Amino acid sequence: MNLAVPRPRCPAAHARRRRRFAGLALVGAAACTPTPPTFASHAAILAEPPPAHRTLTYAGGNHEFLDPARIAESAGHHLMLNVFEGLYTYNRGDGPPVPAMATHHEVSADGLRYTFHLRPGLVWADGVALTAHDFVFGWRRVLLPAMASRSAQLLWVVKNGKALNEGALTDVGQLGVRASADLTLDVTLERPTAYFVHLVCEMPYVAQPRHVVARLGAGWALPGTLVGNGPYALAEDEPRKRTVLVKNPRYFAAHDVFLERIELLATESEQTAYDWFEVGRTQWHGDWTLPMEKLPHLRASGRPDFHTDPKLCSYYFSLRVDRPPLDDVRVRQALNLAIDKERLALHVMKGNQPVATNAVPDLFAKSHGYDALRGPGFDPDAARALLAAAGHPRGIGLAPIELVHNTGEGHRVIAEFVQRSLQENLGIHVTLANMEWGTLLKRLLRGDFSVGRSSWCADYPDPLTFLEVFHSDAPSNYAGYKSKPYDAVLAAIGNETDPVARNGHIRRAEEMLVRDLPLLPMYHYTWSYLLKPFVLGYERHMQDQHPLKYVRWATPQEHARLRNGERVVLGPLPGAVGRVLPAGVR
Amino acid sequence: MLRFVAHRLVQGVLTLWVIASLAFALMRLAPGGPFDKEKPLPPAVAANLKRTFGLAADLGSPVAGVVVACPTQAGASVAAGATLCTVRALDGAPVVLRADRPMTIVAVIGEAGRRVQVGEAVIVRETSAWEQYVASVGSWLRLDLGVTYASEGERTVMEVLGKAFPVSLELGLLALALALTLGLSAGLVAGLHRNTWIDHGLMVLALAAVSLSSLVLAPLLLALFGVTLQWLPWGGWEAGRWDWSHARIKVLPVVTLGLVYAAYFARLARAGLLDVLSQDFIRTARAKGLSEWRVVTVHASRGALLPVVSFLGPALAGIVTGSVVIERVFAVPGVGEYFVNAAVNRDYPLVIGTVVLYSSLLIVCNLSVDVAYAALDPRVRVHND
Repeated sequence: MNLAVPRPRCPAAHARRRRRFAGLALVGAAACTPTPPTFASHAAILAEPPPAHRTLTYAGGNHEFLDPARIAESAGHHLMLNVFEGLYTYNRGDGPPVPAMATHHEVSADGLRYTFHLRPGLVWADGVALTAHDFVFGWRRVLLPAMASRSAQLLWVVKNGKALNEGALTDVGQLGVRASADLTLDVTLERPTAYFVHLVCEMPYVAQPRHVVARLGAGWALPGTLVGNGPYALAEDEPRKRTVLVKNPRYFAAHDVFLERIELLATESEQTAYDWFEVGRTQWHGDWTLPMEKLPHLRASGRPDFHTDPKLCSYYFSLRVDRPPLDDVRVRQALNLAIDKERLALHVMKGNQPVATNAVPDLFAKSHGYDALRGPGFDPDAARALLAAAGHPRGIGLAPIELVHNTGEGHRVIAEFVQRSLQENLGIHVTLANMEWGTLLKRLLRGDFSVGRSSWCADYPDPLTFLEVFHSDAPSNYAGYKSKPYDAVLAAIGNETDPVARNGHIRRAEEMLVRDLPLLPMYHYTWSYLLKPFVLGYERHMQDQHPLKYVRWATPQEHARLRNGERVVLGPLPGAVGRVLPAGVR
Repeated sequence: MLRFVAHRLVQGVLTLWVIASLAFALMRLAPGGPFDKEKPLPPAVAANLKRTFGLAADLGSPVAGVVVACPTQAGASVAAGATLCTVRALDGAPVVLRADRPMTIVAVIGEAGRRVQVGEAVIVRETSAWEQYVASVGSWLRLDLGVTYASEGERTVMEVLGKAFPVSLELGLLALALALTLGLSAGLVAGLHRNTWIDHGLMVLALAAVSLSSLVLAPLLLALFGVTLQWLPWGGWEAGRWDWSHARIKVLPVVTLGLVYAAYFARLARAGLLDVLSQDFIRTARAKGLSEWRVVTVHASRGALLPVVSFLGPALAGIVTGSVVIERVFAVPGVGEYFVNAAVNRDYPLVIGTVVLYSSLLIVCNLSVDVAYAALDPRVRVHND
């Protein structure tokens, strides 16, 4: 059976393997689209049977840390979330967090106090009992200024977390977390935080083994001494070579864990990660993004092992609101209307990126019941009218506007598209300035630019994270947007505990952003990966978190369905149970 | 001879110091810092990190009391004498904390109304490049290159390079052995068959390998033998392990790196041989009726090797440290990666470490070649007594 395998469009394509490096770009001018060697037809890909062993192998970048207090980058996070587990953990696919160390929790009516109830009989991988005290220990340790944890900010919502982390407070006893019993954890927050159950899934919120850290100090997080509480234990860690996890038999739900062993092969090259998958060395291509020049072909081929999932990240340009002519909101609106983003996404980026007309990706309908605002689309006539109203008909009398972006093929292409659009549709001349990231960041922070490339990825799965970027005092507010009413709406979102009223506030904030336009929204990110069809349980998750305890090979029945071209999705599990206590209780 | 070596070693140490200082200066002149990532860190978190590495220092409250106000903000550059904080002492008098020099503020910890002790930190300032340099030279003198920023101080530069260097060294030495074997035989064969199709064929191949360079050769060989034919796996090099599965991994990188240098050696050996063969003593040897084999192996080959030997020193240093591309393409965990990434990430101590490693290697290799020359050739011997 031959299922539409695209033929290579250029004869020498098989030999043309291109490589991209951080520093040295080797991308040559290609006269035709290079086509990677086709190793198997669609049917053969689907027919590949699951292996007899239970080892999942994937490629990843080099993780710097294994200590949960230190992990800040995604390579370490994706690996260690299998070794350490918090009160709750990420769901299988898009869904609310699921119980892990805790079985359920209660919230006070004012949304400030949380009581988590731990599962009885929990133990660390070395058999020592795990109690609420280990959580208190872990949270305090992350916040110690001497730990210099990059992800400490996630714990600032806990009462006195920020003061402790800054060093303004030295008594760790004043942190808003307390073990009122071995299995009861009481948490007090600075302000109501609707997404707190999502936060407790994150790495800074896991329990840390007091008995090990106290004995070994800073060097405890190494193979042989590292003790976790998750479904897997660290067996081997050769930095820049490979890391091996093996199943932890003492994990409370060990009988539900299918994979016996997880092997992470380290590489710094996305091309290598891709090649390893293609030669069958890995079952998931891994943490690396796929090589950019492969994406158009992979998309066009419709291969059944290729997936593209949306991600909670947004790409935009910051528009400096105090720089003429951008200080006139009509000019900013004209800019936004004059760019045909659909065309950019379809023809220039050739990707599946959803076009952005606003700040918040439209991914919160299921989880929050929030439908993101749709901002205005491409409308060159309205753009010209606005520009004329601002006193610059056909761009006459306007000095060139400078657009700054950091070095990168993708950034350059987008910047050039913006440049051409504004020239053609508005007569505005845009000059491009390309610089290294460090230089760009300096200029963005100083506000020394007119149009600056920016992006934002969610700190936590809530629309608020995208809106907080433009708070008057936010360090990431490069646009210099200062609006008291906007800050007030953000505060209202933060304090509101009723989900429906909160969505109303979020919508109002979005309307203000789309009206005032301190940003030029371009697109929302997607995440593309290669995964063997027989690997089940690795499912679309908007935070891009995939605990490997859910992963298993397809059963013979499921494999038969796969071979028939059916999609097999295991789907989300029931979420965490929370109960709101009426006011006055506790 | 001993004095010559000692003299050169002292020179070498001074050279290293100058190189390290230059690298230090260049890194500080480069814009951006080690903690500038796509998402800016909150000032307090950045302050904790910078303090750990001596890039920031605390300024304490001048008196015990309550903070009235700190009219400055993170990222601000303030002049000497500027007001940083006002603290109301317990006896009621406000005391002002002033900047004693121009400085950049990393974080303001003194929120209005906070109670502070004498000397308790209220402001975190950036340390100046000079302060950092003085501290660095101090630790260099103790042979301490510091810790890598990327590991937040969990790993020292020595440890990181100590793990990666044996890998690069093994790759380099294996490639060198291959290059010498292949290159010398090809060069000598070509030289002996001068202007025949063998000579032309071999030299065209050598020229191709030199011009293709590892930049093109590595992906090409990988695509052919690794991906399309799937004869050889790659990635996960372990120094000193020689069982089947580990040895196979080493084939592709060694061959790629070896081929390029083999080409250089072949061209040098051929030129050397032709040069020697035209000399009188060879004619004499032939006139004595010696076999062609004996003429070449005993009389000519030694002379032919001289240019190769003089190229060996720099080649060794280059081959051991200069395989950035090969290491990246074949996922070899050697030093090469650090050359690029440390600089891009502004991991200052690691940059200094890699630069010092490479320079020492060059210095040692050059010294060895000079010593070998002095021993071999009386004309080069230094007379300093």
